[in-house]
Amino acid sequence: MRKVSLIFLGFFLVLTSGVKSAQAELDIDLMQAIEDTNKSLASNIAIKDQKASTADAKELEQMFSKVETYFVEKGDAPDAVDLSKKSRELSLEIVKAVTAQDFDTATNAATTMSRNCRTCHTFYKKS
Amino acid sequence: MSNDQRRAFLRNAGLGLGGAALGGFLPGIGQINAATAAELIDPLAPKGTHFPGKIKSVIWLHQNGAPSTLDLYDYKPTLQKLAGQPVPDSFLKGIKTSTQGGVGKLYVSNQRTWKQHGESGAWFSNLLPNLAQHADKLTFIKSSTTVGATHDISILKLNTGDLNPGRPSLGAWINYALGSANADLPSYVVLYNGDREPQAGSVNWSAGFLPAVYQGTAFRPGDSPILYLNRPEVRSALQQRTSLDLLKRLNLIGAQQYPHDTELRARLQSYELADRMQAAAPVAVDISKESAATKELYGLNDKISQSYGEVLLRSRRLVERGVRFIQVVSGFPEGVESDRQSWDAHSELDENHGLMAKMVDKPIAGLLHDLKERGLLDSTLVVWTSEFSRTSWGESGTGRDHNPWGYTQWLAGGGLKAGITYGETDDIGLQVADKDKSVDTYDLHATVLHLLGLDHLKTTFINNGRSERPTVVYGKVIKDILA
Repeated sequence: MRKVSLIFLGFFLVLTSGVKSAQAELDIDLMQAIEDTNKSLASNIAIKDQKASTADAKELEQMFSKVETYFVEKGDAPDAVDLSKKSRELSLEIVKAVTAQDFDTATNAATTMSRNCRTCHTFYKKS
Repeated sequence: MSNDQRRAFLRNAGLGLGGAALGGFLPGIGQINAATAAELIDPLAPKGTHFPGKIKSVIWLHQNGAPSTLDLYDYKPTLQKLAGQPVPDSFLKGIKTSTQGGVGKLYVSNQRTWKQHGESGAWFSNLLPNLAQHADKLTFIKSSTTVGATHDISILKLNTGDLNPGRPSLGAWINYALGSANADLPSYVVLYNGDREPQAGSVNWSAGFLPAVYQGTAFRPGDSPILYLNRPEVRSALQQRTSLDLLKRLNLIGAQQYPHDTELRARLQSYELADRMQAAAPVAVDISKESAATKELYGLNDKISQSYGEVLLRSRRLVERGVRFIQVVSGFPEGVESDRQSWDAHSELDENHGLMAKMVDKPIAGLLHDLKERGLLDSTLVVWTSEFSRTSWGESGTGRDHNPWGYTQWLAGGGLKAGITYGETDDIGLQVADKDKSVDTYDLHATVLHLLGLDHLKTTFINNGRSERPTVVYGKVIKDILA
């Protein structure tokens, strides 16, 4: 049920992204969806659920793409652009690793992605 | 339908939990495997590591209230030079400050002096003269970061990895992953000094969503650390044993019907443990027979350091007896009047830190010396940690505010490169200088687990269908500090 809600939220965010990209602040719901999906991803990788891990990673790739676009348009936060780009690329790495049943690589990539989130929130919140 | 009839109906219909457990399936839990079944019999049985560990025990020294590591370990000549001036904007980039009355001027105490010690040349202030003698045993992490909130919330993150209650503490994860090395003592013990329990409470040694049997057991300070430990005189040992046997039989019948009830399992274990502890625990915590030299070593002859020294001496005795994780929360010296009973020096830092440093300096130095002399330091990890630290700028004229952006913690013991420093703060000691080297609480937890032989990514527990691990979704072992 929770998963369905998240997917719905993801679609909602995709549909409304054009409007939101012009907003002054990054949508807090998008950040919450990233956090929830990231936790789901970590769990699905740990239990080696290939299908669910892939779905989570693809969803994250789309969401990080929005974050990257936002910071590119904002124009004054190169660190945040870099971190969201790296996270988007890591999402794709996770898809590849999970497809190859390499869950150790996927776990490490997911952990690095989480650290990127943390780094961005800790140090570049106001940049 | 009465309760008895309903239970009988469920059993007969094959839906009772007892019947389900026999069939290997529990509603909402799924199939139970052999390991789970073994855990139901003895959840504290010793378990294997993921790879050979370097240490067997951890002494987690939580310095409650957040000491200013800028006044203890992190010598900053630029801060000395800029003292009294406003904080240059370049240093404040990227952080959100909330000091009452705004960010004050950079502050340095005129009572602070600094000196390098040991072959490593580590800096110590004049507040820690005894610990400074052990400079070459320490592995400093000078790039620590965390989420800065209230003390209680950041303490929770320090111990459990989350800002909200509900997750297991690090000690509970270790207890769950490794089991007990001494069946006669709790394998996860919490100690504190002072006249009150730690302010942030027992949620910091909770088992969270893990079975309750893995939670920490708090020992009180003073001469009777464990309440009601001794059997009442009017009750014979045989009477007690017979009554415990009956209680165990009844509880086991209940547990068969409710195998998911971890509280009941924990209670069952605790009755038996309490029985065994009556023999083992008094010896483990009795420091009266320690030599005069040892008591002196731990600072027991000084009123300021006595209570903390007693706690650390007990820690060593628990390590000797195989206790896995000893969480020591600093309290306050006995007989000293003060409204602020921790390191939380928002004002009058010199007075506060002078007292608090005197309380812990000699006992911690004594602990390191004693562990080394007894050949235990190689198999023990001592961690100096705090929920956050304090700002480079002054507050209330004589204190410092909270700083979660860059501070010092240290480790000592097995599996580490001793006498080194990892990471650094900026020139005024406010933020981590190189963000790639920042060490969050999750990274510290991952490193402690690694030294015990546990991969934090593979130390997992299924909670509500989700695989959980000690480091949530974060955590990176600090490989640069490993020997």
